[in-house]
Amino acid sequence: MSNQGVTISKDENKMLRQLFFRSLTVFAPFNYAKQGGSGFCYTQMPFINKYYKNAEDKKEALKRHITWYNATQNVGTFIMGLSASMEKENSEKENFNVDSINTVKASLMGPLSGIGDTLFWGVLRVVAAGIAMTFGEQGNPLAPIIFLLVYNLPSLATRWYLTKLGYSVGAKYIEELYTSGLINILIKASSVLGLIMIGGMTASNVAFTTKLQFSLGGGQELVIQDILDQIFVGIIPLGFTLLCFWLLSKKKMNFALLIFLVVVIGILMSLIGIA
Amino acid sequence: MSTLTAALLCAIAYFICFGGNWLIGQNMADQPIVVGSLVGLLLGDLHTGLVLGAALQALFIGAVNVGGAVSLNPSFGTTLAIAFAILSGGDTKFALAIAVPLGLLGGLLEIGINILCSAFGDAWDKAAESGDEKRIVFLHYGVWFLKYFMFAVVIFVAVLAGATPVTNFVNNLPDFITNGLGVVAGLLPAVGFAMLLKMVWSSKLAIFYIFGFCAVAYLKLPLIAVAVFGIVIAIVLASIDQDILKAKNVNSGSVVPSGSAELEEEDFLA
Repeated sequence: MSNQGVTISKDENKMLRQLFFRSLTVFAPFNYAKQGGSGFCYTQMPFINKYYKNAEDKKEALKRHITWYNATQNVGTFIMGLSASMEKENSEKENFNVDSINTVKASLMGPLSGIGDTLFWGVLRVVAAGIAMTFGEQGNPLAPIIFLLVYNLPSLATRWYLTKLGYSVGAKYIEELYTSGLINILIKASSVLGLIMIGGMTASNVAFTTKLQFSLGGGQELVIQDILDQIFVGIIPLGFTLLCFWLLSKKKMNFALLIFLVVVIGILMSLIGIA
Repeated sequence: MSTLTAALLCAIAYFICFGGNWLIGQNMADQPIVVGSLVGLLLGDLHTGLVLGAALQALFIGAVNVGGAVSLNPSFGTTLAIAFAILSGGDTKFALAIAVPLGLLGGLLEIGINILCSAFGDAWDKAAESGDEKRIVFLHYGVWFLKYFMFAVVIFVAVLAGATPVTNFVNNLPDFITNGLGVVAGLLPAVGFAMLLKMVWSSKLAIFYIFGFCAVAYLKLPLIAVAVFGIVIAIVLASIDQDILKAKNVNSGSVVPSGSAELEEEDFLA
């Protein structure tokens, strides 16, 4: 599919910049009634005011966008850009189906959030944290700055790119990304990066050393930790993390309950002298 | 520094990090590594703030705010745990052990405040019906301020009321508990990583998790190097997959949308 021949005028580019900056505040007053509804409406205002001359049409448009909205905000600008282009179309065409604006919004929230959450929460944030933690552990004051830069530069670039993309291509674009299989490639590659990073962080951040040792007579000690290290370095941290994963995903154990169990187990092991 | 001043500074740090995160594009300023540094800086112990912030980042990394479902509030747990650690003379083990339970309390508080703020839903609807854009925008920023102001007040009260009892409590803990808290602090990040694994795990790709683990456990690579290798491997895999996809599409005659390759690269630069 080609970009559907929409060229963005100077005026429109200015409004898209407004949309971009306003989109940063989309979940500022997050609440269960609107979630990002007020923020979404806020991003559409420049377009509503530009394209509708009649006060009634403006009111209708505001009402359309003050409704419940939620999508991962790094990728949600695609929906905002697309919605703005549909408002433009609606103002120009007599027979435009107005309901399709909210239908399209609703249909894109799920698929876009699915990929956005994985990319930004599961991978980019983890990579940024992993890099910054190395600095933080040494007490290097650059740690928070590095973290914020590594996360926000790609995040903001994606936001702006998707703002323009949403405005210039149609809703079918996302559908075709999915059916063409490109989304799967993207998800697979970023999952690989995420898994490698989480593996590295498991090794550097989960710690367990047992104090257990047995006397073999003749002054020789059998140190259990040494044996464990010979089998596989970090076997307990790795095994324990996988156990937690199994409990959370396969056994559907409650997160808070698992935290509580870990606290109890840790203190018990200290009490009986295992660790 | 008096407890009153400390409590006020913690409330300000929390407002900046947590409120700022949501005002400016979820920029992750509410993550422990940022919150910890700011709390440490304001309370006059930047080093403890940085080191504890990094450690808490590992603990809270699995706290994923997806689709508005709240389970943990990392910045709440981080602010209080680090404040108590610094004010009580720097017991870091204790801070690590209480941060997650405090984060859970913060999560409950967040649900409560979200419910309170839902009361403004009707006001927004009425403003839209009367075409009052200014009112929509005023409420947009007003509710933001009100919401994070309420959070900050809770932090202020918690630090003010909690500092002395927490210090006494920490100083009177028996040895096996203190040691046990150290064990807990070592094991708790496992829960966070397990939560993350839930997002990206697939049994076909699980081997990459073991690869990352061994890169650090055996090769002693720093996490920066692990990130770089991870990115290289991800790009190589993606380009191979893309070639396969192209070959398939040539056979079946379907068309790949243009512009998607750029999109992919952009995300990879992460």
